[in-house]
Amino acid sequence: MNIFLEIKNTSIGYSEPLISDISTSLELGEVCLLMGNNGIGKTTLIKSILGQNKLLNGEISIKGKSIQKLNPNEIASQIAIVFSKAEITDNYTVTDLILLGKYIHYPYYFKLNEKDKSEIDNIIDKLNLAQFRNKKLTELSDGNLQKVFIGRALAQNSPFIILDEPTTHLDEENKLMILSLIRNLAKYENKLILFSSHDWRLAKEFSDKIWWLKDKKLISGISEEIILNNPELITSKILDFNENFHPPEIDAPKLEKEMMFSFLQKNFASDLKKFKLTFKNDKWELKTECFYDNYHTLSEIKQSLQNLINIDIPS
Amino acid sequence: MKNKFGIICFFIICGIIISFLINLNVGYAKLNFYDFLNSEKENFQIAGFRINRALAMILAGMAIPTSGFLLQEYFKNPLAGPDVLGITSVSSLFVAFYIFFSQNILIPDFLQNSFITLSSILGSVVLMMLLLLFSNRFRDKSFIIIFGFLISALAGAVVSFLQFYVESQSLKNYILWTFGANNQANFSQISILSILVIIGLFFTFKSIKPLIGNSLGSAYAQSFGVSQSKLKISIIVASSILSASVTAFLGPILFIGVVVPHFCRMLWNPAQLWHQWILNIVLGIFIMQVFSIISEISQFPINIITTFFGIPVILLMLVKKNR
Repeated sequence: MNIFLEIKNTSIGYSEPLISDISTSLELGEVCLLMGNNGIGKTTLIKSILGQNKLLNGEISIKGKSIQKLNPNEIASQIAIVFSKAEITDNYTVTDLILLGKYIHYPYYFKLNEKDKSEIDNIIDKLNLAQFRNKKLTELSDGNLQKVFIGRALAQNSPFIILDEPTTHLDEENKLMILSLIRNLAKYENKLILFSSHDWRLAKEFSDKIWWLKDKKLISGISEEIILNNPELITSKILDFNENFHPPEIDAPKLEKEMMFSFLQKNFASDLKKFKLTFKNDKWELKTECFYDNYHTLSEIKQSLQNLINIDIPS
Repeated sequence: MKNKFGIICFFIICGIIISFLINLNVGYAKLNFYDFLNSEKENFQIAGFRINRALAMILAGMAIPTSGFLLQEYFKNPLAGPDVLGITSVSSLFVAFYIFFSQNILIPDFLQNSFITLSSILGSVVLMMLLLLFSNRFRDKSFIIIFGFLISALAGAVVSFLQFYVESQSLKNYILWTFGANNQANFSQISILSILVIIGLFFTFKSIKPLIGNSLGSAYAQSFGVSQSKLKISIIVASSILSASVTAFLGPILFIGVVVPHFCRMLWNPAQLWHQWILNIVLGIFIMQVFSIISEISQFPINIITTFFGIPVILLMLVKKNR
């Protein structure tokens, strides 16, 4: 085991602990998802790892050295951060921002050497940002802006990259792009990646480990094991908000089943247990003991169910 | 890229040399080269005044734009300037106190200027102490600007109040001082001003890299190892010393601190702060030399020249920003 980050018996918080007794570790080449509700302590944990917040007790160490004994430059040489928000100015172009990744490597940051300039050019090309090289940051889309900040973190050459909610405000396409990029950084460049997100569905595809903040504790482990052992992660309350709704039996592949459940819950506040819906050959069959029909669209199903409920078909 | 910056600086420095030489030659008396060298020459004293004037403009050109540049970068506000912190106003207030309360005291002429200078410096030091004290209580750095604005307004109100009760000669003396006296500093005052400007530029030198690290906000700055409190102190100290020292010896010089950094951002990549600082110095010196020449030819006080120049430029900036 080649442990890079180790947290031992640590409590984090301000006047009172937000999360207590954290003991976990991460290795280079791993991608870890940090999950938890708003306000639970994700950003506080990240700031504690960065040495920006004092620990209430315990120790966080990087390659065996305690964070508390490292100065900010030493920490920055090991950890690069991408925050979810940053103050971007009119003055900066894409190149200027990625160049900032070299900030800690120069005593005065007056002029970069040719090797570093060439590295920045490579990063810009690798991230498909060549056409935006001289564009102002304020002219970029959210997805491209996020890539630029990741580029800055790459230019810092730190083995550990932390991303605080990198996919918030992004559409699905950009989310996938950023998450794929993060995954490739870990697998092909042996970086340790820790990123926080609310969206476990996308994130679970890309992370090796999950750190789940819950009830003032940190539950850590392999992603699939954590999800299997904690089914409440999957059953989102968003899908179950209608108390008067009782779903019918739905026999369909996972995605179609979920979509039908959502559709029926939003349109009916009644007991539909006597009905059975089966998805076969791109069609939905609606069946009760004395009724059967096929439909192609959800609207047709809705209409039919409404009629059947009004007629009060016996179970 | 490096050559392009060098070329820009080269042309501006040529402009500085030419304007410096013109500045030495502008005035009622016609001087020649030997008047500047030979102390036995009749016009040697006039030559001395002109050298002082030109040197004062070099120092003012280095100091005031640098002060404005630091404040604009720190507050990320292109309209920030030394006036924003209230330095000019409080210096003026203390000078007003001195002039108005000493009107019935016989003070030899040779001491008058020194006391005015000391009053101005004292005012700036008091303000700097207040700013450093209150800056720790302000989480949001924009409150420092509001604080400076309120102090400026208060200082202005007190000066207006005092003006009601003073003799006309004292009032005139004060108003003349506010016009900007670029030709009244003697060589020893220029020497002291040089030392103060060098101190201010040293603090500026220490501030540039942390300012770059602060570009993305305090969260990133912390991750880069930038100490927010140290940066705040060095910005306040550097900009205060630079603008206060010039104000003390030469009177308030308005608008240059806002306008010169703006021109520099048009000339070169605004993200490259080291280059911006160098440009602010050379362009500042050149502009102040030119204004000194115009002031001498037109006989208008230098603040009127800087105001006529500065206000339209700032208005254009505002219009462009709104688009």
